[in-house]
Amino acid sequence: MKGDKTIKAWFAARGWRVFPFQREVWDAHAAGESGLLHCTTGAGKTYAVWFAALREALEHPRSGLQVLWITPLRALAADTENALAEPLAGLGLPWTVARRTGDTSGHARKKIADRPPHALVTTPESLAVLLSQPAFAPHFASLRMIVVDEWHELLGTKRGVLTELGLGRLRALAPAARVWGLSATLGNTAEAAAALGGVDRTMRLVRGEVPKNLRIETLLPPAEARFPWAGHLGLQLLPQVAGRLRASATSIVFTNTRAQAETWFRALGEALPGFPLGLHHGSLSDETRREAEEGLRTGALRAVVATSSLDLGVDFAPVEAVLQIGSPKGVARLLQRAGRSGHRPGAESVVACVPANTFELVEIAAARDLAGAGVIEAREPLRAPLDVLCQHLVTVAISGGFVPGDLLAEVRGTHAYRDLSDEDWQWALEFAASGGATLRAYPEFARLVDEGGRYVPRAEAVARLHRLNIGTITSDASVEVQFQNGARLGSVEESFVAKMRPGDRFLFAGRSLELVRVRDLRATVRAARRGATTVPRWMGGKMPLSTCLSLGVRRRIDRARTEAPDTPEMVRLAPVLAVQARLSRVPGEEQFLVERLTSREGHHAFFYAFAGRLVHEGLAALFAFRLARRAPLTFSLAVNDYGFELLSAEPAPLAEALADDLLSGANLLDDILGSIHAAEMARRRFREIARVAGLVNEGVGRARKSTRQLTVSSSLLYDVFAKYDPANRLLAQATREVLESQLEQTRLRATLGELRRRELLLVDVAAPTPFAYPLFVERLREQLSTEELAARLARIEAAMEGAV
Amino acid sequence: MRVELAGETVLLDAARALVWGDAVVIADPHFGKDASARAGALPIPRGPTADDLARLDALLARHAARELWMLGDVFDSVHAGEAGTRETLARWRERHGERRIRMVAGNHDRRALAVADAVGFERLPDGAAIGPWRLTHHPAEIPGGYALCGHIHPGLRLAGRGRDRLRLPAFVLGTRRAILPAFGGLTGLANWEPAPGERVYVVAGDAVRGPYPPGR
Repeated sequence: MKGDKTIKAWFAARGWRVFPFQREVWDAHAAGESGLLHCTTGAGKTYAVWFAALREALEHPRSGLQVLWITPLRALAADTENALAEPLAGLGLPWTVARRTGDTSGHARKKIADRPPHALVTTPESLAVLLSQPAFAPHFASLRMIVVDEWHELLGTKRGVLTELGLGRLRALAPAARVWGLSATLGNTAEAAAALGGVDRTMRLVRGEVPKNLRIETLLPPAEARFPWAGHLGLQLLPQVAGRLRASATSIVFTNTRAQAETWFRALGEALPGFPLGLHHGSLSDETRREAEEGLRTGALRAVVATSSLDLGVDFAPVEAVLQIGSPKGVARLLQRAGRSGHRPGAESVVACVPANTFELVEIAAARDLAGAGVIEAREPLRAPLDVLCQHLVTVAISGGFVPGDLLAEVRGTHAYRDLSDEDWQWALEFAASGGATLRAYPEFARLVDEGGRYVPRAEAVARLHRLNIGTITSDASVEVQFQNGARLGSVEESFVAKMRPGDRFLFAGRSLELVRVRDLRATVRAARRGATTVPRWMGGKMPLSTCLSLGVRRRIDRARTEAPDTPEMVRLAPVLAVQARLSRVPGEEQFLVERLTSREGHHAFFYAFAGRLVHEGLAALFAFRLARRAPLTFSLAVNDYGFELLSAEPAPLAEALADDLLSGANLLDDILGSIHAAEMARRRFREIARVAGLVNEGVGRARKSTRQLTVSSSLLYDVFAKYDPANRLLAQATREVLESQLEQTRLRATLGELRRRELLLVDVAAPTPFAYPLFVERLREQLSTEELAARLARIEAAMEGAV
Repeated sequence: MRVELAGETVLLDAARALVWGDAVVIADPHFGKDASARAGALPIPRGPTADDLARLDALLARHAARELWMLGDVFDSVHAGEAGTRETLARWRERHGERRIRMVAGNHDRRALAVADAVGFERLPDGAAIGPWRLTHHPAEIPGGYALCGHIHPGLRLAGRGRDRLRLPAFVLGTRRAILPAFGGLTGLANWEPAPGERVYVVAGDAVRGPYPPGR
């Protein structure tokens, strides 16, 4: 075959060989199959699918749009475009590649619409915009291949569902197109493939290059140094990290949050004067990010401090050393990050972990155990979120209208909506059209009209506004940060800037900045003379420990009771566990430790369920709810990945409740719902859902500003709807989302059942134990109260009078 | 809760109002905030303004009030002139035919003054003097009287044992001026740090409690 020969020659000219998994994808694609290619590292994945399309093109040249490449990150689109364009000339294929994302200029968009390229790189949101444009839809008909890159990043999120709906559309518009997903290996790879294929399509699973050897190391402070029991920055290991960077030609220092990246960048800059160091995270301007990427590639930078913005993507130059600040919180994430080092075939990947506190020592040891045993987390796909469906209905309506029955069949063809009920469908349809029952009285909110059985937009303005609001990521309004001369640095959340006054200093984009003024969502800054101490915090900071890893940690702690420490981490942990044993108990895998402590603050109860932060949030609210039902009480709740704390001014009837129904599975759903409402969790979720469904428009420019000035908080919004439109299913969805995605209700139920089976250890302690300490000092807290306000005020007044 | 203010006895009502004799004083009702929300593409149902008016009815009846004074931000925006909202307000005004409904203008009222006139609210100049009082929107000390003000939407943060945290609408009573809590149901709170010499009372459900700090 001509194509095969050309490709072989192209590979040979580079001294590459074709991997068997690459050939498997090429042949499957040629045979008309769709599938999912997964592996733990990135090597060769891009070309495995890209050359399947190229081989077909070499054999049967066609015109028009041939390949649609969907990538989760806007920031990756440029790299992808370059990687795809690179082999074209050498193969003698007269193809064009372009990208269409939210960053693409109006001019470039028009060019793409007028003369579509052979391959188009885009994001799920931009795909939805393209699908909404009546003029663009015909271009999809010539598609031969749709690639969804980094599918594991999208799976389990609303963006993933948006992608599934887009693919559902494309199945109808482009019958010849085969779908190929690229993914990290997951615990549920087959399900990941099914979500991509939809209900009718059989997906082939192809496993990529067998992972090279992986070594997980831990940087440790000198033996005599005391290791902190709490904290997440890990800066006590700065000298060791600096030493690693100096000893390696190129490195990436991965952090878990943007604030952590900023802090480490500055600290390393001070520890290594003159060392070429870059910074890379999602809130920095494109230029800054690109500089960091280029710097790594060309060697101009020796190291880059990065968040997950640099975990993904094609062909970032491999680096010599990868460091992970703080626990990776998941095995899959650690493997992926480790995969950035040592790309030479057969070379060993090494990742050096930098624990920030004693618990992270166990997490690293557990991650190594699990990686060695080949255990990796699953990612659960979302089920039928109505807000995304409402948005999709308007998208399809403005693309030329739809007949409900036809669209329902298409929507039910997706994995996410395969079991969509008739009632939910009717409600979504009605909501998309008129805004739902309450809003029918306000014609200005009607979006669609039924024209002889076909749903079309009521006015052109509906289409314009909708295109501006497509997407499922909601964030606090962001404020552009720029110098007085106009140079852009990136963006921070408005809530951070709102607390600052001109003259205040903060650390951003690796610089100490002084705020000059804020106007129209733009913060003007200048370089600060003195160093800044405040670092912006972005939403979505804390990552929960995966279920897998929580289990691994429990096992590690269990073994530590009887076995001698067998890894450097466990050696460092041993004295801490000894303190825990002396003050309280070290729980075995079959035990459930609960500690009680009375302090100046009040009465503390610490529960160590080892089920991960999300489940603990649910359990903490549930336990507080059940305890506060026995007696009027006000609780302050703190959670982390190992357990949770309930703190109250008055003693809680803990022993009685434990002996009775605290852990009971009876009335569980009602009690969880009660605790969700008592703890205000659904309220916080509601605004996001309302926006995705199109109930609330963010608007742009002036419109956006005026919306923000309304200062209607999400809790007020929730209350207004709960009161005046209680049948609104988005309220129900808010509750369901808290139940399922936030609290992982299924896991919560299972955890509760398991806690019942475990042996209960109720221990009174005289001081916070090493297990309790991180909870004891946690400041981010939720409240739950069944007390009369008067009783709480009386206590507050008594305390104030005592203090006077 | 009865308190002494500028040598007079006034009543602080948990409906977020101050009562002096047969006059009821409220601040920042922000009527029509739901309408502004709708105009800003936040499709809130029409209930909130009607609810606020019903609360106001009950308040006026409870105190057999002959006068209502509003300390500005009576309307949320020009959108209070939206047909449905304006009718609701006009009908409410008609029902209270014999009562004097008086207001000073706040910053939010700037473009809604025509609505005030249309529904028949009597407009007073800022700083208007009635008895010992000076009515104004923005907190200020006004020579010759004791100022009753709004604008701030004060909320008091209180902390107790067991990391108990509360934030409640507050009356801030200073030596020369008082700031009333916002009356409107769709309004938020701004944290208030009591200055020396200020007595702060909070609305706790259906009771008013205070003063904070205790003993003032």
